[in-house]
Amino acid sequence: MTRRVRFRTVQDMDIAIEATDLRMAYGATEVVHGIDLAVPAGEIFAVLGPNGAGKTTTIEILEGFRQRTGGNIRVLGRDPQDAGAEWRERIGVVLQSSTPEAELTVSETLDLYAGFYRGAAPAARLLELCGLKEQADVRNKRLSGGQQRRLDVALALVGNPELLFLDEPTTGFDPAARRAAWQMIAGLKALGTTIVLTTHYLEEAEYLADQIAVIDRGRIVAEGTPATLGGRNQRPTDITFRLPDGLDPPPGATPNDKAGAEPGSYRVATDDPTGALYEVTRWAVARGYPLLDIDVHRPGLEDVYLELTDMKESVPA
Amino acid sequence: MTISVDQAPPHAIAVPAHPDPVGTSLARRRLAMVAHQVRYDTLALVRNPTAQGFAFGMPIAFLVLFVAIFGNGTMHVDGHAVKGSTYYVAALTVFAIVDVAFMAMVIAMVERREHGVLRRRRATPQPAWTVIAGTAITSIMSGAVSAALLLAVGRLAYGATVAPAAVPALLVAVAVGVVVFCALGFAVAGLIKSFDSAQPVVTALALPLMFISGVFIPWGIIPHWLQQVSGVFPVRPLAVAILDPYLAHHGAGGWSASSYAVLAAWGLAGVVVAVRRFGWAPRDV
Repeated sequence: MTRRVRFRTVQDMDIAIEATDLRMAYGATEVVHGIDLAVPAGEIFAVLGPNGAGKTTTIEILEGFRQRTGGNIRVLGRDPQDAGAEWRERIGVVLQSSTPEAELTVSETLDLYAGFYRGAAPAARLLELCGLKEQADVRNKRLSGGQQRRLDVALALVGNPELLFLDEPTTGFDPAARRAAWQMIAGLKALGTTIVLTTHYLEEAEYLADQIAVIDRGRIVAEGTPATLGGRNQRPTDITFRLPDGLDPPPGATPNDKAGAEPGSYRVATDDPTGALYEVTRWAVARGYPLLDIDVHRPGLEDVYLELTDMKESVPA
Repeated sequence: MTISVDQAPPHAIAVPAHPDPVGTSLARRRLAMVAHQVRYDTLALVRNPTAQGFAFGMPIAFLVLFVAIFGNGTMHVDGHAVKGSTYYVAALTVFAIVDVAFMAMVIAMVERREHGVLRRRRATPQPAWTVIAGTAITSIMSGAVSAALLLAVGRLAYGATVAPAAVPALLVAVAVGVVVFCALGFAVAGLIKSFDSAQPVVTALALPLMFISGVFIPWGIIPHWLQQVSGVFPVRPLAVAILDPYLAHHGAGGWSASSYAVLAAWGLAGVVVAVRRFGWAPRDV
């Protein structure tokens, strides 16, 4: 028997957000050229892309802040354009840039926002979750940038949202604060919250996201898990090393032509890194050659991302 | 199957912030939401030291200063004799209203919009009208308090009194003034594009009008043609509407129909522009 819990409809559906052929034009200029998206409930979905790619516009349409010019979208089963208070009860929004009410304290601000929802999370739990327990009675204007951002997140969570939009949540954070924020976001996911995240930081998407979509110039140019994005899992692994001057490389190795490679640096591209590494090291050990700066490198998300967004640059839009 | 609290998703362990007893109508809940917002917005306003000084302190400081500078002798306004202090109590009540319900309100409104506060409130289930109503009520209330403070100081320190029969006229004038300037505040806030320009724009709009409307300078020394000009704008009609009740025991009626007509026209224009130009999203990004 299933227990019925209010506002749990999304748990019965598989898809929290669905967009087909989403389009947005300002006047005659179309900035989003037909985006298809499906965000499964309970997952973290990251949207990556350069500045001006249409990320924020897309998110703002999904949040119900902007009227699209074409396509269909369902967010928690409703069209955001005409979804009302009931729908807003179920979503949380962290805006890209916002400052909290300067003269109120952290806990007063939480109480203010709690008054806008029918069911609100206990303030103590939000303070704990967002690491603001010590600051409960501090005026918002005295908070550090990172603390203000965490308060933004806490305010988005006041209504216990099923779906949370995070627009660049860790921009301007130091590395320790970013780690803490990631753990908090991962914790929300563990509690069943669906999260849509935009970010500039590839390691953020890699750490958090179940699915990534790369948007460039108003189109999705790649979609996948952090491991498979852009065919990353099918790319060869590079084994690079340097040989002392005057030594010939092993069979199969080519001069490393990557920018910044030192002279005498070689590269083996392989789909079987274990075997290839064994061959290279066996070859070197048999001859008594040292392999300097030996490195085994699989293409990172950043390599793939830069390729995806660079590649588009050479193609006229 | 039972779900323990530990396993339950966050939205399943909500506690109601505002209990929703049977029989509470939606309208009452909405009004409670407006009141809730007004409470916190007022708290924020009261704590803002700049607002305290400018909104409530400055009109009183100006009253003391102007009476000291221009003296408390008899002044003649449109054929009526009036004590200098009484003239300035009325005139600076106009300043208090314009300062709080218009100038400070525009700056606060633009700041909230540009800093994302309006949009974040829009992201909650709170209906749009309650956000606007809450802001308007806070501004109208603080304008009325600032005016009341000045009128009280005028009465206690300078003996500026109105005849009992003219008290309603004075209250109506103050009430109409704060509402009209609040509407104009929403309109101007909608026309301003960035937080940085809010202060200079409201100052440039309000200060010259207050000068030519006799708010700072005795009406009698303002050239006739400037007096004519000022009658077209909303500051002078409000000054007349507020001064008239003080003159009532000298034979005037205390009500100035033409002043209210001009104020109503500006109020309506303000509402029209405000509705067309209102926005939740930051513009200066």
